[in-house]
Amino acid sequence: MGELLVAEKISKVVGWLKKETIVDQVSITLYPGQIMGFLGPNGAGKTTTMKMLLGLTSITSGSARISGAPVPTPASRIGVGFLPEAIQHPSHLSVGEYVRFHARLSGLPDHDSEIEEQLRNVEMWDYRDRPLRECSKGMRQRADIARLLLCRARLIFLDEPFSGLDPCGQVMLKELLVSLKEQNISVLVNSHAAGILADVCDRVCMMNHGRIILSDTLEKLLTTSKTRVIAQFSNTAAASDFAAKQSAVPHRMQEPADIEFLIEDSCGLNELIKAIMAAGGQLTAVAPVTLTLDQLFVKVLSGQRPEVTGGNA
Amino acid sequence: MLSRIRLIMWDTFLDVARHKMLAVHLVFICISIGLFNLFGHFSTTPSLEYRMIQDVGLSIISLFGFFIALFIGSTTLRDDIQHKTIYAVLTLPMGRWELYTGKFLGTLLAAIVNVLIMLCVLTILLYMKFQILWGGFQWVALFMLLEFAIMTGMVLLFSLSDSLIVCFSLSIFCVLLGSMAEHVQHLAAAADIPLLSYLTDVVYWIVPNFSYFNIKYKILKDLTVSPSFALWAIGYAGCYLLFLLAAGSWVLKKKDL
Repeated sequence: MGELLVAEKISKVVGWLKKETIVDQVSITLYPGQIMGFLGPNGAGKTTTMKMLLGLTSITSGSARISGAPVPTPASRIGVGFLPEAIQHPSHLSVGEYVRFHARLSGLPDHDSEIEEQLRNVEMWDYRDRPLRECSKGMRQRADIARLLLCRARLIFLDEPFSGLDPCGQVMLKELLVSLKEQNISVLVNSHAAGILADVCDRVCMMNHGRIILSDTLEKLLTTSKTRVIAQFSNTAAASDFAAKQSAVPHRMQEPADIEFLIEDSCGLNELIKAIMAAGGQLTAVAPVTLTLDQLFVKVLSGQRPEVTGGNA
Repeated sequence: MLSRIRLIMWDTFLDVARHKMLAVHLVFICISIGLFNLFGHFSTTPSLEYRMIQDVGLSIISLFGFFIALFIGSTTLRDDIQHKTIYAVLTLPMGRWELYTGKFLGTLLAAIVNVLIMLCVLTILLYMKFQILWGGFQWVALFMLLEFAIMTGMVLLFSLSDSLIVCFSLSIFCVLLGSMAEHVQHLAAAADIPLLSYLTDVVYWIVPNFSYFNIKYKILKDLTVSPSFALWAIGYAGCYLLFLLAAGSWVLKKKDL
């Protein structure tokens, strides 16, 4: 499967007298049908990275290609769509006019049937004559998705698409992202909504101070080396006796006679399970400990996880 | 390419027309009707009243035309950049110069239609009151349209600066200087310091010479405009507009959005 987007050590330096590096040697590879999430605090360089890839901002050093065409040539933007954060849509156009205008600009036939199909896909067909200025944020975003689909985008850049949306709007957008993936459309999404990104992304990139500090598949990022074991004993006294014998293993007592252990490695796990069985206890749960993306984000930013992959995504 | 430019031009024109032009025209019509009533009381003869209304009417159109050029030129592209509307267009496989050319032509069209409507309103009101057809209307229209086309193109170029104050200041400065272009030329010739003379000369050649388009005195004195002068003015305006278009396209291409 060929890469759709490849960025190699792209950097952005701004300022005349006092130079400041706002994106520092970022490398990204994105394949067709993949959703990649960019996560990072404000000012991390996520939006600037997107803008560089879209040719909206110049790349100071490094290179990028989209579908094999070098950025920022017009050829690199064929089949590419962008939904910026806090965009104010043209107030003089209705939803239908807006979608049709972009289809025509893309040089695509603006057949009524296609426009209807895409607007129905995002549940905006009934609002096609409504001026954009009278639409809610969620409706305008859906109109934008219809615009991108009508222009046959294969790679979509979304900048903070979930901000300002109500929970229903967030769920709808999440479902839309999943449906884009099913259509083999790749998405690069910037967001602070780590919980939502965890639901839709294949890969996650964490950025801070212009650098990628962590990047991998979601599964690998969230899985830890720890295993949680919960054992049940016949009574509280038996549980307490066993816990006392296993004082070297981190644990905590649970009601009525359960103990939860956290095991660091698999060797310790086997020994613990044997000991539990020998003491007459029952295993009620053995599962690897996983983090939520929010927890990982906070840990990485607070420096609790220095073993980052760095540089590449 | 041409179809994209045409689409953007038409969209820009619609944007201006749907929201801004109507209000400007209503204000202008109200002022014009007020003028007619006012000068009816002050003038001693109908011919004097006709000239006064024509003179003041043209001055008001000039003033309004400048404000319209300033308003349309400074908001069209600038708002699109600030509201990020431009991102949706610039991420399509098209050159930035295509967008700029479309915007440029759209704002020019809007400014021209605006001025044309105001001139038509003035002409119709004059005809209704005096039953005289304005003989030099076509020349007034032509020269005013050329003047406002340059003004609008210039403001659009300056609107690419990061500050609205810079855009307004440069626009007003250039319009004032361009209206006094002949004096600037004399100043360049009279300057004792070579560097000052050279700089003044540069300013004279860079800033548009609006005196080429000022034919109001000829119209008011019923003088005719020679076709060769008109051709020269059209050629000058065409070249200047091309220069503004090229400069704006280059600036937008280099601009980090």
